[in-house]
Amino acid sequence: MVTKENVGVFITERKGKPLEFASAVMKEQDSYLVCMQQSQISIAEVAVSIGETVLEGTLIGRPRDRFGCFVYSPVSGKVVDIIQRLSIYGELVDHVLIVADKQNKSSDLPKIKEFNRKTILERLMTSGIIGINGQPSYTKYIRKPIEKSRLFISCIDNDPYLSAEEVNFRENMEDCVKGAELFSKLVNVEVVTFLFSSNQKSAVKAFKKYLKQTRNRLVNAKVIDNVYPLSLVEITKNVSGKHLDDKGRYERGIYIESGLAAKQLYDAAYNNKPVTARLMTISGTGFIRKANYLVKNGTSLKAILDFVGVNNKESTFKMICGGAMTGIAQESEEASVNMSVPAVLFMTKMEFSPEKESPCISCGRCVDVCPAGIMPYRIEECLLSGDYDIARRFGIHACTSCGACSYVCPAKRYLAQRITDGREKISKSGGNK
Amino acid sequence: MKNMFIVSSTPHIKRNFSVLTQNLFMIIALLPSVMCAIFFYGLSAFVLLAISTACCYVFDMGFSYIVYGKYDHRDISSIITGMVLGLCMPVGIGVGYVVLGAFVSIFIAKILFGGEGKAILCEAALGVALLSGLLAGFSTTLCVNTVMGEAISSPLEFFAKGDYTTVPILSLFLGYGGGLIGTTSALAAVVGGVFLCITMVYDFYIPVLSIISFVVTILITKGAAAFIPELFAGSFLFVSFFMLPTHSSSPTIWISKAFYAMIFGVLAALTRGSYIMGEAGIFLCLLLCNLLSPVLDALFGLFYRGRGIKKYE
Repeated sequence: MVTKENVGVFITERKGKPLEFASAVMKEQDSYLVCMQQSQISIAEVAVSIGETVLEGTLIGRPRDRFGCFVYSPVSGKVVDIIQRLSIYGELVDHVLIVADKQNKSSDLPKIKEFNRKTILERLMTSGIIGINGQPSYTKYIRKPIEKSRLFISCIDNDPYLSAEEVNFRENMEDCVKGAELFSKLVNVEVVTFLFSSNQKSAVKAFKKYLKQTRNRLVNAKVIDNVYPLSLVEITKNVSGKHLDDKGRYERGIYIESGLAAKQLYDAAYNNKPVTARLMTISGTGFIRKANYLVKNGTSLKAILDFVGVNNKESTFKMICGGAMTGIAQESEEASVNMSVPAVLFMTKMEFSPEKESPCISCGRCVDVCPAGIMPYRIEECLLSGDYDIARRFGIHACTSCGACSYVCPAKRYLAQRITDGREKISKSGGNK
Repeated sequence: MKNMFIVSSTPHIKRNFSVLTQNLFMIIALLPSVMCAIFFYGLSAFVLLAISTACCYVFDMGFSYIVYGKYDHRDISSIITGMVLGLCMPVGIGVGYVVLGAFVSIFIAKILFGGEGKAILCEAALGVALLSGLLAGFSTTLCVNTVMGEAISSPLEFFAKGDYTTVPILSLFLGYGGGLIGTTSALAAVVGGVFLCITMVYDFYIPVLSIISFVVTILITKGAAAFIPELFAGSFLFVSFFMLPTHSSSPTIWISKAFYAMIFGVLAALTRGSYIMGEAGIFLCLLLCNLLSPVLDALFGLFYRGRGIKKYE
């Protein structure tokens, strides 16, 4: 065996990251533009009509397909328009424009009488919780779990700017544990493991103290190396020793949820509140009041800019929905956030400092850090010379677009970008490119 | 504000470490060897280094403009090539040969192979190897150090005869013995090399593995009394730290790099068995290992075709 297993890259903390471990609630807006695309793959159909009055928690969108999820009104008010606009992912989808009536009336989900697998699954399905990979959480629990399954709750912020998961866990530890226990009933496990990264020492300490106080033996903690990336595949590698995709995880009974999802399930099951807001890291040197805010679904990026304040000393900005490594850069502030966006970053030139690429020096750093076990520089060479077939043989399809190769490249090559483009071209051509 | 947002693909941040930073660290790492060269060999060493560096830079800029129509001013690798080339020359070499060495290093090893990052052979090593073939006294009479008060040619000449007592070990370690001007001081090479490993310009295991394999081979072939003098003498440490890990001419996969380093260490130790190639033997070993790099990468690259690729296709 010659491939290194402990791959990934250590990314240093950033200046723009909020340091305070406390969340704040964003001021209520006059209107909300709720997007029917709640993640890259999860699209809903509008379930309300223009002129209809809605309460906070009223259903406004139903799943379009098996990856779609339920969407709820973030505010009480009136539906004034249903328009097609670009989502943060750049796709033209329906948006529901709701004007708030400032009366703060809410509509709760029906109370659960008995907590069992069926009722919890139904609540998970209808509450609009999105999982780590952008799929609605319930999709992986529909099939009956195998015996000796394992459940992991990840409280890791695997991005240099993010701290929402950690803040959520520290502030709602008890709720997260109760939410995790609900998840455990779905997969029939007795012990739930909370995952932390090695840079979350204080969170682990607080959690262990909590466990000691409550004498809770149903949950425990596991600390894994703080390397980037820690997507589902890498977390699975850490907990099971194998790189597994969705199918592989199901076959081996490995379930991974986020701490935020546990908190959301707790709210949906015990407080009967569907997902209408989520904790987001609002970060970057372009913002003045950086912090973790509870942001309602459909809040426009412009409203976030206005509320958090823009650093006027700078003139060039980059706005990103998501983390600095995999987030999507926004062209304008017109789009609105959804419930799978973990962060909104507003970077200045000192952070993203666009540098001109220079020729590859074949240092091999990209090979060392690649979690997919490919040679990015070699694939890039093939793509630049149009040898798509050789790129395929070099394993272009295994790329997870984590961007670790581009991050470490001293020549500032656009490796991840070219490989992602090349992979899409090959996929579109049915592998005949 | 709408027009002020910059849109680009991921990742949005990059490590604050560029090729230019790496090259600047390399220049800093070479400074102890440069200072030793000037201290032990005097003004002539300084002139030699200045000519070599200037020639490499001018040739690189000139030929880049002629061949490719452009020159990237951030590329200061030619300055490093010039410094390394100068440090690997004997003090008595003529100016014409220095210019020839610079021409070979830049035009043949770099420009003809495609410019920055494309050289498959270590540029300076090719220049030195060619000059050693042209000049009969490259490793002997031209190496004689007269500055320190006594005339000493390369200690490798004594070692090849099995004589490890004539040249004191301290002189080999500090660098006041004879040899190629910048490579005689083992101390300077180690200081520069450790700096490069700490700053992560090069992978530490390349020089470490080459040294281990060299020492083991010397222990097997020449015995315990030989390994310290052999390790400190000649250009082995200098080449291990500054030339062997050169990115473009070394492999890219860690396991290939490990084999590459070990092969180099063994070959370098074996060439010490005779003095036929003199001080230049080590550079020929390096060039041979450079040629092996693509083979090693192709071989071990078979394991780098993606984990779980079958699931995706």
